[in-house]
Amino acid sequence: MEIGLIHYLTLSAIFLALGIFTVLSRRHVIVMLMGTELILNAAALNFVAFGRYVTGGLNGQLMTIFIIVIAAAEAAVALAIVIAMFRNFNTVRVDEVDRLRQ
Amino acid sequence: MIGGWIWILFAAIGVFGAASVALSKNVVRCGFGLLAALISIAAMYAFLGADFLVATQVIVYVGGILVLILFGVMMTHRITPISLRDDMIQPMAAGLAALLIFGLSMLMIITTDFGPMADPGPMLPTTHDIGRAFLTSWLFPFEFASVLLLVAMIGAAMLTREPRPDDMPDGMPNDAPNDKPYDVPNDKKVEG
Repeated sequence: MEIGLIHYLTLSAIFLALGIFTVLSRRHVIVMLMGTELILNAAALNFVAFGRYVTGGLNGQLMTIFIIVIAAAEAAVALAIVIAMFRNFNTVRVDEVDRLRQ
Repeated sequence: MIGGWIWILFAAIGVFGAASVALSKNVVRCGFGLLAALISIAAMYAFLGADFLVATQVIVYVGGILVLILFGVMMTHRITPISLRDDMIQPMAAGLAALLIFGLSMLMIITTDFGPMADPGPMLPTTHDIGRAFLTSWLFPFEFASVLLLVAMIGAAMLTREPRPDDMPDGMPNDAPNDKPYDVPNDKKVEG
């Protein structure tokens, strides 16, 4: 069978739906972070697939590199916030973090 | 054609990994599911002929972000065990929203006419062209991304730093009793 654009878009939609389900249903902050990584990867896969099959050229791949950069920055800051949150509240569940100060 | 079946194998690995991120109660199992999903995405980039992106995905995601996340999991697990019993608070509503988004995406994918497909052409090395594009037509986003990474790095270091007693503002109770949390007690120190 021949793999085309539709297959990549379908796989990306599955990743997007599972990522959104993870972010909405979980309360563990690190698992929610993993869900955002899934969503970002779904978008990046779409960029590369459209770049190969529709527009041609390298612009889709270049956009994906910027998505990876932004995801790296996001993961670094988010994990720093998680560590600060764990230090102050001694929990990683987002529904137990309900104060702005000590 | 055997390539199609290999594609389906990698896609199934990725969907299984993403499903275990979404459904597993064990945080470490979620982390390894994310590993499978990210490796599957790297394989998709290989099928799409993006060789530089395969290397970037493996180095940045599988090597960097995933180690960072597992480090976060271990660090937060070490001190107190976390109850995952009622981790799924609103699975019905979340599942409904995810199914709705998936259904609308599939509707868009099936009904949209994407126009004439570009000829994918032969798979050529892309690293040279990507480097040239970064230093010519994509120069401003490239420099901007480097500034963003610097800001994120400084911000992460700032947020995780141990608070010193002298940088607490007045009136803010400093009830972090651990002034030296990682210091070894004196009787455990090895002489010499």
